Amino acid sequence: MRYRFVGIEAEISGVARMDRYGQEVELEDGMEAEAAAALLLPEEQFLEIFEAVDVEPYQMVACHDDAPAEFQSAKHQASIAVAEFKQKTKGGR
Amino acid sequence: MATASSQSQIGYVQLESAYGTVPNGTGTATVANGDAFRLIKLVTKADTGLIARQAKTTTLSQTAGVLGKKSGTWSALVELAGSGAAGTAPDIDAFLQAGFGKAGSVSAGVSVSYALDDLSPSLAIYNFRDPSTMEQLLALGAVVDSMRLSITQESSTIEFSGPCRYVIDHDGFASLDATAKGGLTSFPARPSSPTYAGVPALGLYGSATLDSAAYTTLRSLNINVEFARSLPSDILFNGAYPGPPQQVTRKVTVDWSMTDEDTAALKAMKVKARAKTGFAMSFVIGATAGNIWTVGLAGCQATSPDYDDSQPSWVTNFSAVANASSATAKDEMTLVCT
Repeated sequence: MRYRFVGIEAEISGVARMDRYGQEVELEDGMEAEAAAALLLPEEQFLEIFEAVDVEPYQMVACHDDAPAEFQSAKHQASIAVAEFKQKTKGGR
Repeated sequence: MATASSQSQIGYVQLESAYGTVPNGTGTATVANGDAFRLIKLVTKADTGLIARQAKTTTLSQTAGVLGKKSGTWSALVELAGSGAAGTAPDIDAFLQAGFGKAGSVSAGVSVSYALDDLSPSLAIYNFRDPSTMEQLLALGAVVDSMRLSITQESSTIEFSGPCRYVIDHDGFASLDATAKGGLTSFPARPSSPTYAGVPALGLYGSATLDSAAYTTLRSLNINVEFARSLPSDILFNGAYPGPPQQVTRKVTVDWSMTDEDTAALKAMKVKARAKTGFAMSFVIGATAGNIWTVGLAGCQATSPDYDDSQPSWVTNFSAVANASSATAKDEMTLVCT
């Protein structure tokens, strides 16, 4: 299953390491809890949220403060979505 | 024979729903990859008492004692790291919940706020090492008695510590009694792909507001909370293990140093310090969304300042105790991750 990263930096040890906002990651089925704990959103959901926003220039979190309002709004939605995804899968906690 | 690198250590933590019961499903621990936390140092130690025999014998030689009380202690030093997504709990959420006494309040997509309560949630803390043939440890019924935040320019850490009901080990699991097993039927295997999120917030970025004035002159900052939680071990017929948590009045203290200056605001704060007039303080650590920590301290009564001439500019040192705003409030400290 394909995911996109919506955090600063995260790792699923031995499986994937993420350090770019919007980074694409492919995980085996059954790893939803790990994905959620590592702030990965299902790609379909991510693309829906960022449909009208170009994420490419904002892969580095340090430049998010200068991002346009539509990116900030989408990022806010993504943060809510990943928290809900984590809650849904329990993310191990 | 295998040995293990001292740099290879993996910690996992879960909140217990009942004191001393490791989260499990029909005896199998539910610990998962997402319960991992990145650690700097993790210590879990079982203590077993030896009761000396008092009865006289025909010689002056000591005879073997009897196994007495069982208990444990633990401490975890970790980076102060938010998850990286605002409104999503950090990897150390369970420790913070157990420290503050209740779950953080989530504002969706914005923040997770921890406020104090007079409860004592307990933890199961897994202390794994590689290879798996090394002794593996699990502290159960662990409560947070102390929490210490240390902020420097390039390092922000938080250390939790306290007592626990007991620390069990993989190799001796079969010989443990039911209380020590904590509801488990076997010692848990380490989840194979621990998952971490976030990076440490650094003291390079942030701000300090002391008595309503903003400062960019702090040199050091330490915030210490003594939750005064303990596990009673003086109860008759309660078995060898300590009973459920008890707590007395907690104490939140802060010490900081800052460049001395002749501003009206700092002079006014010094007057308040000497008069023991309370004032509020807040410290913001970090600058990246999802990893900005704000410590709020209320009603701080500070010590009289002292002065340090070891730096090129004079430095003044303070310490203070934070206090609740009323007899019914529990608002002396808040911790918010945005």
